[in-house]
Amino acid sequence: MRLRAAAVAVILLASTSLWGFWGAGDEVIHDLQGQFDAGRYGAVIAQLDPAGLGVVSLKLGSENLRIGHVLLGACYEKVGHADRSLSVYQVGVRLFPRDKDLLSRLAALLHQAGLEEQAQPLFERLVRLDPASPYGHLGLAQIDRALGFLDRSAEHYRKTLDSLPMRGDVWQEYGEDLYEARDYRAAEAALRRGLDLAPGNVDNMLALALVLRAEGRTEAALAQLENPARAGRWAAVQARALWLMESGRDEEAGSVVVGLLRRAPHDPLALYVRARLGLRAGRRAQALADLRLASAQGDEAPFCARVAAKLAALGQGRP
Amino acid sequence: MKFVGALLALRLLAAGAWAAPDYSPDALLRAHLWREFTARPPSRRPHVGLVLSAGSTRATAHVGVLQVLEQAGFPIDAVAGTSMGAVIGAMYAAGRPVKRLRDIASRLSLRMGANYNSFRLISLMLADKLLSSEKTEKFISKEIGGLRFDQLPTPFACVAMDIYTGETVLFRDGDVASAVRASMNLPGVFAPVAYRQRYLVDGGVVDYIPIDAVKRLGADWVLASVTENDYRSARPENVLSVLQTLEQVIDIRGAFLSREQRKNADFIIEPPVGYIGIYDTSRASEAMDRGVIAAYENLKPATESLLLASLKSFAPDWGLGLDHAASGAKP
Repeated sequence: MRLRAAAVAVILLASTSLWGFWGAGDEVIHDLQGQFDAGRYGAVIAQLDPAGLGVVSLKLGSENLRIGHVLLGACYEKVGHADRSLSVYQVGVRLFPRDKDLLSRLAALLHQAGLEEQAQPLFERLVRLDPASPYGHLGLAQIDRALGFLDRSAEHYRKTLDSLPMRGDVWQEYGEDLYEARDYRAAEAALRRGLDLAPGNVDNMLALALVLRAEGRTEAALAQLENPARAGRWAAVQARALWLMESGRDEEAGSVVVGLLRRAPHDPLALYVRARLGLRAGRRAQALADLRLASAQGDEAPFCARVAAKLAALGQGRP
Repeated sequence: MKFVGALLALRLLAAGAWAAPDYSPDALLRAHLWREFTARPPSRRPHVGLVLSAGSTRATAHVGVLQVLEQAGFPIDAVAGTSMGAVIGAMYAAGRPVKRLRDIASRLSLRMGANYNSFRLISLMLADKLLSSEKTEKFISKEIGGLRFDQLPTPFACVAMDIYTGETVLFRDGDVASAVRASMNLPGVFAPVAYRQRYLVDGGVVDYIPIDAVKRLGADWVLASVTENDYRSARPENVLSVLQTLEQVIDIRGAFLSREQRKNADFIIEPPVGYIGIYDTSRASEAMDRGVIAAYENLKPATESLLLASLKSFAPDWGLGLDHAASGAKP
């Protein structure tokens, strides 16, 4: 996930070249912009903030000063100094409190760092400045979702999608939010829309499989797991084994488990499924051995290990 | 600029990716066992008891906890509460929607439950005449349609204290509203309630987290929502004030009780509301939000705790050979 975030940040930073220039210092900013586009971030920082304090020290006209803050903040992000970038954006927001771009960047940076208490009021301010702001609503949706306010987050996702209806990834997040709130029908619709817009999105397929299973449509859920499994998602194969066992298709579950254990002999979930299948088939000793082995996988899956240990103890008459 | 905006959205999505669904082996097994648990009739799985502690305004955080539990489909087979926990628990047990509880709690004020006004307050201070909590009883009775305990859709109990004997009085039958009034009848502020030859005051001074009460209703596994005061950091502004000093004494007593009682819960959710005072009703919404956050943070560990406790009742059906009587499941 960090790689994905980093890649996205790189694209965002590259977009700095789209700003216009006017007012005092036009030439300076234009030159700095060129250096930024050429990837000379150190040079831009050296000119805008020679003391390395995270402050734009050049004398610039108002609009260029604003751009200078965005540019310097972006450069610091680019070279991995998020702390200085934060300081630049904070000063920028103090100087230009109604600037949506600086607000968005500061809020996004804080949000990315998990500083939700600081990010939330900035996203709220952004939404007050622009009630339709998709980025403000998206930030608030994610924060509310992370904190457990699923009804509020769903509302923010809806407002985001009013402005960004073609964003499959936003539809996916919205669908996942609805799934968690147990609004399965709406979740399915949102995830299907997400898949229409981004047909190869494996995470979306997995989320849809969960929703279908929650709706009681096991066959459809199992079918939905096929593509993620083919794409190498281990969780999809594990889920397939578990759900086949749940629906009483022991033979198929058994063959999936054989494949899982061939590649990962200590996979705790596969061992659990094989133990349950073994108990059903009367292979008690083998089942207890599987549970004992699964119970030793606490580093990888602590809950699986505890369940297996408890079941093994119960099987040995130790409730 | 549109391009920049679209990229910002991507960045936000990347930032929020950590909130994406969990497909780890633990998450898959948890979902699998939860499905098994919720598909079973209550007689074939442990009974879940919810305990809502005392705490006055702080205890409105329980509404946030209930919101998350309901959102997650967490079964609640019995409820017990003390003081404000009893008020919220009674309304929940009567089937009032959590949204309604939130509406009520967000409008909370001393006037809602008492004959409080400036004149009465002066009477309390100068003439040693306590306020009446009769309005609480009327309000709750109206809210739950005058139900008796045996008419509640979810079994419920609450506690009060006999002011003469110091005994804990457990309410499990009769009129719900009058019992709840007794349970939240803050000593030193509200006049004791006459009830079945006893004079009763707030149960928070003897049973802050009524875990025994919910166990008597048949709970095998107990989740407690605890909203005790952090009296060491939330000091009274004026130690010469009657109300503030009384509040501090009640809170310290509650905290001492809570320390012992919490050991008997199977899982505790403790919203960080210790800094909110008894009469600080303007912070009820804040308390409820903190309840949501604390409950959501604890939802997975609470679920895991309940599932581990349930394995004993699942095992016989899975061929692990225990007989039904030894399984812990109810007949």
